[in-house]
Amino acid sequence: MSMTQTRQASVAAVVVTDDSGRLDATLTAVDQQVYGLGDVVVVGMATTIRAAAGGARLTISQTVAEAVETIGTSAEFLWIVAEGAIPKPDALSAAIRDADRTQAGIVGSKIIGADGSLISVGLVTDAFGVPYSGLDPSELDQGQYDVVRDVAAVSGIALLVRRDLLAGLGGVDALMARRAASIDLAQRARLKGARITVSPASEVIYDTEAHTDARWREEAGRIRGMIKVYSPLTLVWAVPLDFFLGFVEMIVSIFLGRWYGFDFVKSWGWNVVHFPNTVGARRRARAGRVVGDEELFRFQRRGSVKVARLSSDSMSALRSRLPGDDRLSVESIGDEIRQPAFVVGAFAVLFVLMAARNLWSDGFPAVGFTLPLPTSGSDVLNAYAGGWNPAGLGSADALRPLLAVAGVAKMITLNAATLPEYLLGAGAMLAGIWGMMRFLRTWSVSAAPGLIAGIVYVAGPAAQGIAGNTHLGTLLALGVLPWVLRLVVKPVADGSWAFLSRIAAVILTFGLLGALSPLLLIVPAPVIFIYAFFRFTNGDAWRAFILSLVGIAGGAMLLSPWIWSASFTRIARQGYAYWHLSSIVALAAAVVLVAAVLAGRRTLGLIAGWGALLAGIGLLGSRAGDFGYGTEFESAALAVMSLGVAIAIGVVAQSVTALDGGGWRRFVMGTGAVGVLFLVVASLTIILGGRIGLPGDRFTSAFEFAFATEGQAEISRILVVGPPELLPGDSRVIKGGAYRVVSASGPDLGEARLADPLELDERLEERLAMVISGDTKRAGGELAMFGIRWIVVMGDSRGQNTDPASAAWRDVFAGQLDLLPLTAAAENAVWVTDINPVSRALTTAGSAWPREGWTYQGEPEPGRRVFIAENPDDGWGPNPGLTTESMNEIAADDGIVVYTPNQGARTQAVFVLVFIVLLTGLAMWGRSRP
Amino acid sequence: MRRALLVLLAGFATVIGVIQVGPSPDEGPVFGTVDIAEPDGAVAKPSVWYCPWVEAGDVVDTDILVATDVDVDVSLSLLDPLTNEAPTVTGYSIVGSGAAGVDTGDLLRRGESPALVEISDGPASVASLEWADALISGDRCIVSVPKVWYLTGGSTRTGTLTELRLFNPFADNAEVTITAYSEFGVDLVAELDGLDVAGRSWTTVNMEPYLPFRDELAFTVTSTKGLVIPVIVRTDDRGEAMWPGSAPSETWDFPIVTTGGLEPFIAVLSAGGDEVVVSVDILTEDGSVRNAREVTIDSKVPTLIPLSDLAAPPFGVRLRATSPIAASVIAVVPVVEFDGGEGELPDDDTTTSTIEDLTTTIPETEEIFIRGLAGTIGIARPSSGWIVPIDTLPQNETTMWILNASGDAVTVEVVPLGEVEFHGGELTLTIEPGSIHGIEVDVGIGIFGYRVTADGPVSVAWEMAGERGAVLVAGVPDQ
Repeated sequence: MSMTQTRQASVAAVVVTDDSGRLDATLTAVDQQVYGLGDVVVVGMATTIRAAAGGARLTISQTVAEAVETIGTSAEFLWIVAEGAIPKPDALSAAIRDADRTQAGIVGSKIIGADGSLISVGLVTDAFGVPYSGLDPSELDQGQYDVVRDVAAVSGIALLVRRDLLAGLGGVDALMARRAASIDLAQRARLKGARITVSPASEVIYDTEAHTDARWREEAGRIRGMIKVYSPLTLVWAVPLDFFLGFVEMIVSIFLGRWYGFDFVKSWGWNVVHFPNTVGARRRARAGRVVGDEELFRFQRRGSVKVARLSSDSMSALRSRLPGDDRLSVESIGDEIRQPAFVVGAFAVLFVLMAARNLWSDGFPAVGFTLPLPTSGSDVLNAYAGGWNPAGLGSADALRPLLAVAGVAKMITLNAATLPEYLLGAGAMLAGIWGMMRFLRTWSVSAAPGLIAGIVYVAGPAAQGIAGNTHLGTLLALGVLPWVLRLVVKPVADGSWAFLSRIAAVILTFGLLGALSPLLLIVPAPVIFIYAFFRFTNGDAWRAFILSLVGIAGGAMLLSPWIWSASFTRIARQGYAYWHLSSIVALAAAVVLVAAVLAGRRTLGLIAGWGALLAGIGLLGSRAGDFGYGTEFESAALAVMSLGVAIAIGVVAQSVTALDGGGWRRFVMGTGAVGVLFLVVASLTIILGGRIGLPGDRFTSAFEFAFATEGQAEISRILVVGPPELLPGDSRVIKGGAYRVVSASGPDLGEARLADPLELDERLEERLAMVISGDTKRAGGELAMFGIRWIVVMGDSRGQNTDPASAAWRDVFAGQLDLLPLTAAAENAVWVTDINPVSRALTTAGSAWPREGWTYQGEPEPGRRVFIAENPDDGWGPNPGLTTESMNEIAADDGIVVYTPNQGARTQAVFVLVFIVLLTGLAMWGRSRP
Repeated sequence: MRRALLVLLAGFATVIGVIQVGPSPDEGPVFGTVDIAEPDGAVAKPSVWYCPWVEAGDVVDTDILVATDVDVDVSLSLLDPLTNEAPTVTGYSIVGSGAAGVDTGDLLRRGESPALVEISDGPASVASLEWADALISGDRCIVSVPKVWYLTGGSTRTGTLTELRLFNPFADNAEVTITAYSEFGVDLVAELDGLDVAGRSWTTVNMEPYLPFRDELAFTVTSTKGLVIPVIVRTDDRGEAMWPGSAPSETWDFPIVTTGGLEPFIAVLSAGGDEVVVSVDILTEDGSVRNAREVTIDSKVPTLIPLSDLAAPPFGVRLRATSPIAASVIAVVPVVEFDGGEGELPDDDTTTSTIEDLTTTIPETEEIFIRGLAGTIGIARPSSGWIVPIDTLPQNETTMWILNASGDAVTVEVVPLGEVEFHGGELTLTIEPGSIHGIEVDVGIGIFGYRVTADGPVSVAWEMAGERGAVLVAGVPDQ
């Protein structure tokens, strides 16, 4: 009990309605206050007021500001109470008492739910105005927070504010939602030097479910409040960072089953629309301030409430999805880290962090078919959707869907340099481990065996084979494949919506699988067919097979427009499939497979047999070069092999951990465990490189000479020759020698796959033939028309480790009269042309136009023409352009040359995008239904 | 049962997979580049010819001679002795069939300045001839650029100087290894291993400091990095001769080995590791002497085969060897024989003198002074068509020689080529089997080449002799 004498201040009550139909109860509670009230004003559009506060003069106003005006000047305090709030009879007197005692300008009440749970005892916010109550959900009021203290803000459900302060502040911001308005009011008051305290003795009961403002309105108000009170210096970092955090929240929340996209757009859009008004309000709020931002910061918590909340939610979601017999026990926070699910998850994350650590700083290495993502996400999406394919000398052929995935990753990360590559690489690896655990959980394989299987699946010898082939798409697809299989074999819940949701999810995941690795798109059907065939009487297995067929068909549709021009035969047959199988690895895998089949009981044994067959088929496919299959087929086959081996490992590990059986079975399991141990150790070796198994970068250093002279890389190309395995991406062959052309600014993923040769490609081949045959000794001049400034012979072209292909190409270019050597090294010999000017886009006046993104831009030259060294295509413009026999000739008047996308392909891509959004919505909606 | 079937199928797939074999090792591209040059000639396409021995100064001039069957544009580049300086480039056109000669002294006079001649079409061929009042030296230029060259006919005996000029017309630096062979076998010289030749430059290596007093010298020049075009330059007090490198062959034709009263020798080097039997056939205007001399040469030991005692000049030679050899002809001032004395090359101090000195040193002997030193490479493969750039100079006589080493008579059509269209001058003649035929070239009427067309394989070369000295130049076959 307080011993402070309470003076009898004059107080008027302002009851803010929200049409929740609880006004009567609130007015009654206000009327029952032991503290004598003056005026009572009801604010809002309440149409029925069935009761009035006895002894008080009841008036109705449209806004709080209007209410303040109607209240007599004798009122020293205003008590603002929300409709639905039920203040205890002594609530007002307690608030008045604490206001007097602390000399606070604003005093908030303790808000308690109808069930006795605490709703608010004052608020702390972060720097962005996001409130943080510090309370656990359903935390009961036991007086644990009953202390009068300064807070950043108080709840808008019931607060006492000095009338003169409120008038000086210009009242409550009517444009804001309730909570945002109360925080805003508190922050503005603090700027003016007022104290904001909470009075725990002032208790107000409130049912939170009765009224909640729209989330986006609260967000919009929060942003507006931030803009109003902070100094410009703070706003410079706070607003962009808040935008970014909101964007991240929107993305991450998708994975948590929430969709904040519209809230994000609407809240920022609202602020854009109301910006002039906000500027005016800011001027008023900061006029006459007596403290700075630092005083606001004093009552704020460090970090971001949003980030903390997302982290917590993500961990909760992760825990709920990790397999484990006793996963429900993780709800006990104290025992959390001792749970298998947590330990397994932490180990998986740690493994991925170590295995992908160099991607964080360097991104994907530029080697073989793995090349850095294009710089601009929008550019690459534009190119995918009917735009220009920049590989080689260019073409109108559709880019691989992998580029669309890359473009989306780039856009999401605001075109960050290496972040999207890290997210893709590490994310795929983590998804692969996680997916394998979930997949094996179908047959009750628990967390730890699933983790072991997952690690070998994404990092074992077969996965390393894929990485060694530098087939980035297939490597990333390892993260999707088990999810695809899990989705088709997992039982479907009853109900048509659940079924539709599953179909949507299946199509989406198949589409993603096909986008990453087209050949893997068709893999699940035969894989599941084998499964169903050997579980012939199992209806679920046959349903899974049908689902996989639906997934393939639907997923293929998502690969439009690429799918219509794609040749799976060509993809499968390019190169020579031959995976060099280590004897010891083969032995270890064979031991594991046999042990799994023998040791696994009942269904697990059959599943292990299925895995063994998949591994065998995968092995055969990975060495099927003699049957006409190529390296991409090899990588897809290795993925199947990795899947099969991982299944067997899961079975062995499960059997071992379950101590399932005795006698010979125990011996077999022990032997199998040795094999598993070997494969796990072999898998852990990828940690050394820190690039998810990918080889080291080859082209970044080999092509860095292009940047020695500023501006040359953007206008030039490099002719890269040598052994085909050392060239970036696809290559062409002339007289047994491999060659290809890449952008001098560094080939990106968009240039990895060459289209069929067109006119300019054929012209290049003719010129190269002349150079090779010795018909000309001026290779520089012959190659200048293609924008080729440099020639690089990859590999050792002389010395002890001379590669015959490198040496042969070196002999060709060493004997040229207009090529200057740039290096004396035996490896990666470089020549630069002695010809000038050389450019991919050259005007008739000899000016070089650099390539900027997917366009060429330079100084406008009215009346002149610019020659674009890309394969001739009518899409190059602006029109009227002239497509010559082997090149494009465009008017140089505008200073820019662009490619007009194919409208048909563009339309298809837009439809696919809409379809993906719909499928995502359907999948999530069905999943969120109880 | 199902498990067993699965394991069986898995095992079957695994076995099939394991027994698959990898791709055959990639042997690299087939670009036609070889270590050792095939016999090169004029082809019906653009070509670049390299002429390492070009000099124009206050005494010496060099003519660049281009003969062509078709209309061509010619770009003549003379390299600057200063590194990184752009070459001096002259362009001109020749209406085909035609030929033209350019005196580089008219373009610039800065001493040594190797040339490269780019011809826009073909067949065409190039030769260079260095001349002064008392000097002529030259040979056909080179069109193919192998990595390994064979050069024979060198010597560092007293009074004789042998140099190797290594011409690198390309931008890439070259690194070459010169292996020397003398009568002692392989003569190891560390300094000649890993010689650097900067791009677009040349270097001349005097062999005397490294290999003094060698009667016979031959070389192989191997490019370990980049490419060079070497020529051997032999000098004595009577003249200078230069000839390019060649590839080994089992057969060599020398349509003419005698010129200007010089004594001819054939310098050979076995390219293999075994002894080689070399047979010398002599072909004269009247017929041939098959197997006139047969010598067995050791591996890696250069050998000089004397010819002067086999026939009276003029005559040509066909060499036949049991395995590939490198060969060149070298013609020097003849040895003066003393009674009871050993034959040796003329010596100014003791055995020969100029006509002016004759009365004071050897009054009892009236000897005709012979000027000159000549040498050239052979022709490995006879051809039915030849495009022969030819030069003529006052005070000297030029003769083109056609050798028919086959067993049948051949009918040969000879068409002179020049800067203007010739009316007349064409010859049609028959060359009997095993004989040579000489065609004297008119001096001063603008003939700079010949087109030789035969109905059988022949070999062609030309020689010039007179007051300025003597020179032997190999012809260029039309391939």
